[in-house]
Amino acid sequence: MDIFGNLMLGFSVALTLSNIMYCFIGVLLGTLIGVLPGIGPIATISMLLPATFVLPPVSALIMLAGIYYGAQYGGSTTAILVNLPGEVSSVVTCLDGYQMARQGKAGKALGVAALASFFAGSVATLLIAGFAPPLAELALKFGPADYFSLMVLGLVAAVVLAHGSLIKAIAMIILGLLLGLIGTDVNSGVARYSFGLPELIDGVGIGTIAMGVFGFSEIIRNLEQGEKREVFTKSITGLLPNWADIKQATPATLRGTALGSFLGILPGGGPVLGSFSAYTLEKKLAKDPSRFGKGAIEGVAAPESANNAAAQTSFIPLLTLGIPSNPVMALMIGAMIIHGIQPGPQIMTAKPELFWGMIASMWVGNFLLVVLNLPMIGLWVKLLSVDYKYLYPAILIFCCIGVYSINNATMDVFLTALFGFIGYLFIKLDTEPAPLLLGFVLGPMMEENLRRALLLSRGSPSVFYERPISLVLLILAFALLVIVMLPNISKKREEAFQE
Amino acid sequence: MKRREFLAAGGAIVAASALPARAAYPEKPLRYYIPFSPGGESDIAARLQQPFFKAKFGTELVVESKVGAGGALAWSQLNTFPGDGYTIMGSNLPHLVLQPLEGNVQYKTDDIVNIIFFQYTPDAIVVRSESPFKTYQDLVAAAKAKPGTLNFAGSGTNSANHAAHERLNNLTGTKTQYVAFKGTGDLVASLIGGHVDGAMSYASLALAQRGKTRVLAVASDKRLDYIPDTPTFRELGLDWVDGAFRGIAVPKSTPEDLRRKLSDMFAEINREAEFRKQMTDQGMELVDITYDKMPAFMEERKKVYLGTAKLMGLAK
Amino acid sequence: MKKGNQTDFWSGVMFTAIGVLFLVVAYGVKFGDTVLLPGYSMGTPARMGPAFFPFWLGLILAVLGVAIVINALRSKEAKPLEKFHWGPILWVLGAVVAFGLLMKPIGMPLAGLVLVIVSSLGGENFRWKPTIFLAIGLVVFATGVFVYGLKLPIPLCPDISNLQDMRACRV
Repeated sequence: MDIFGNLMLGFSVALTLSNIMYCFIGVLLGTLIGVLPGIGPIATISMLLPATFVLPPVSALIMLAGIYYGAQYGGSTTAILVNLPGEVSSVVTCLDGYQMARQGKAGKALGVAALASFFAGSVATLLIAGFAPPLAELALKFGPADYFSLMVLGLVAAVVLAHGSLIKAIAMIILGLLLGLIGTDVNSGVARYSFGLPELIDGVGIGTIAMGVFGFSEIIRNLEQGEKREVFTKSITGLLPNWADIKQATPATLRGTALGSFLGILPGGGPVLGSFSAYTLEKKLAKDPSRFGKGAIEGVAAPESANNAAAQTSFIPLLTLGIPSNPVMALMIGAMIIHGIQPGPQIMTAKPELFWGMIASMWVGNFLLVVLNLPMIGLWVKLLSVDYKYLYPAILIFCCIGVYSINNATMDVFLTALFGFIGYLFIKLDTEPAPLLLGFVLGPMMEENLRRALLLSRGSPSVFYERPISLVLLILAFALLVIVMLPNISKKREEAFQE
Repeated sequence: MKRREFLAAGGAIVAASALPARAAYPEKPLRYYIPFSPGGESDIAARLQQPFFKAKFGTELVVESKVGAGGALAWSQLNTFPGDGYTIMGSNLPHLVLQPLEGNVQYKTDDIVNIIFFQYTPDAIVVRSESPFKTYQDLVAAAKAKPGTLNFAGSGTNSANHAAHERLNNLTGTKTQYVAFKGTGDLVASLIGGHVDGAMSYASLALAQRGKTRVLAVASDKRLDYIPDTPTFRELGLDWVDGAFRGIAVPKSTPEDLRRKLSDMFAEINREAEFRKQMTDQGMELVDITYDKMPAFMEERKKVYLGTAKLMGLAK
Repeated sequence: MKKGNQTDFWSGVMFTAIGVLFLVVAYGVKFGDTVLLPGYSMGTPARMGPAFFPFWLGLILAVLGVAIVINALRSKEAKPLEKFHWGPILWVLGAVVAFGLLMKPIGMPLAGLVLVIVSSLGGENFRWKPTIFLAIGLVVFATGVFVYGLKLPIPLCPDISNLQDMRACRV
């Protein structure tokens, strides 16, 4: 139980020259695939698995883990620069990050994203080192009913993401939930809303929707604005965040780290739920919530710290219990087995050098990411000064290849075009797409847990209020809903008064 | 250590044999589609085969995931691929028999040309260590005392686990509830967290969750080495030796000689001592149902699974 | 028709339409004995069928949509619908669809050239020479990154059998 000694052991493994190198290769590759739309860590790790056969197990796992959290990092870069979330967890980063870039503050946004991520990654690493086993036990306490209530809370929180009409935001969440249900129903095996298309049997990919609704529609909008658009790329102020920026972003980073660390432990949601709820929390706490969505620096710091923290802590169930909390972790289990390591509760005692080496390498990896990314910021910002008429075809070709490569299906390319049009429609109808994406991610999980919870209780809804965790979460959700509704109600009153 | 040395040696052999041209087949990499998500039993087995395939036959075995609909997504597409011997696909029983019976999938059992089944995991009842059920008898007694209250987690609907669960209810005359999860990895948290009473899974789960779980009974013909205290269903008086078979299928257009050749190649990998060890370490039993044994084997299996399907209410 | 909040009005119409679509497909359409759409099974709360969740969500969405429409019609401030610019929509999305159609038959590099050139036509000040240079540069870069770097199974050559056997077409 000597954390210090254990960490020393870990660093003695992680800081060997070859392991630093593999860690570097991992985070570099991760950043690259994070920046490239479509292709994600799952595809990359499964492709690289055979290449790691010849490496020692620790080095292989260090490299593969680096790809995963490096991707979280890289995903924010395109979100900020061109409104294209490289990974789902950076969808919210688009909201304020892209606005900052339009105001010529792309460098600041990228810098804050990098620093907040580094801070969050470091804290989460310490958390894993100190408290992995009890945190894992906590995650096990969550039953299906509790998960359902957590999702409800997450969805209520998503309402806050949009500014403008409350009822439209709710409608967008439900639309997202419905889109998430397209594809094969896990319980019965029935293909829902697939309209006979074999490609839809497995549902619509989140990458397809995110790229279409965020990336493509933004391109069309930029093109229709013509010359007016050129203004924002020409006036770049401040390449790096200054002290005032950092001071402003610090509390948001701290809260984002805490929230992300916690949500990362729970199987399922992880980085996505973390980044969405961190953003919501900041917007609710802010003195002037109207700044959000218009380039608030906290709106970048909070979700970026949360998704990075969550990406790290999602290793906890894997390392302590052998339970994969997301598909990437399932792949890591495969990687361990192929390297002759049996993942599971015994790994910490049976293979301390592997366990602590991996943890220490996460800190090393986060450090390398900052070193790698800060000098890159200048380069990225320069990219923005490229004439837009050369930039957008480049975005298009990378998106198209990326989206094709997810399933090797041309149908996905067509669907992205369709969602590009839908996204443009959303802009014209003044409805914001971020809540839709959260609904889309949570929809299937929500339905699954609802059905499972009610199956276990034989149809009695009492499980949702008799289980303490679920009850607390539902009360929180209700309280949040009231807080969200209140300004609307009072505004209505004011209107009535004026009449 | 030994493993890595072997891999290094394998690499050297490949490097050496890459230069002179071998026999006509295989002369380029094979694409090996796995219908289940990376990290699952099917994926791991395929990846364990990879280095041996390369060392023995000199070309790469490229594993690619084609996940969805409990495998049906990939199997529905199998026959659209060219039958040139360079496309193969993982196949699973009883899925291939049970899914078409349900009627929602786009393939029929006989559409799938299986060339080999090489591994097998027996059904097993698993509970968490803290569970009040110390033995199989405890469990059955509890299930009989309070019918309809116990919950069993399993991987998927109309899957091997689902079928096994219905069989348990039928053979013991109990009534318990099956709760479907997306995969074995998905159900572990609910099992260990105590949100379900037990899991109808594979014996290999006991290896993955050593110390956190207890296996009450296993559907193998004799006791397993890694859980010597766990009785088989036969010992407990139930006629039940079953589990999930995993193998390889090819597109229908693949010529007879290539089917045979591929079957022999994977049977050869199955004979490798090192491969056997790696597989059994994961709780996967090796079987050798090669292409020539396939027709008889499938006939026998179909009969067994049709029986199970009736219990599940699938067969109309 | 031009009064009220047109933007909200049409978004409400969209939500209602989508909600009804999901609801109807889940429930099925039957006229007496003729079944137009089978629908999915509803189940009971304890054993929900595949129709349960989407049916209720679809209903809620449709109701919300109607509420948005009513609110929009009663709204005092007039907010006309923003103009749709079909030019960029058609060029950009048309280029993407063309890429999707051409990818497998003629390979990624050629399809990529088409994508870049067609989508560029949607921008202002289109000039052939820089666009073609851009297209070639992007295709070379993308081939390097995706095909040679990341080893993704992306078709490189047109789907003609003797071309496919060429060494350069296989990675």
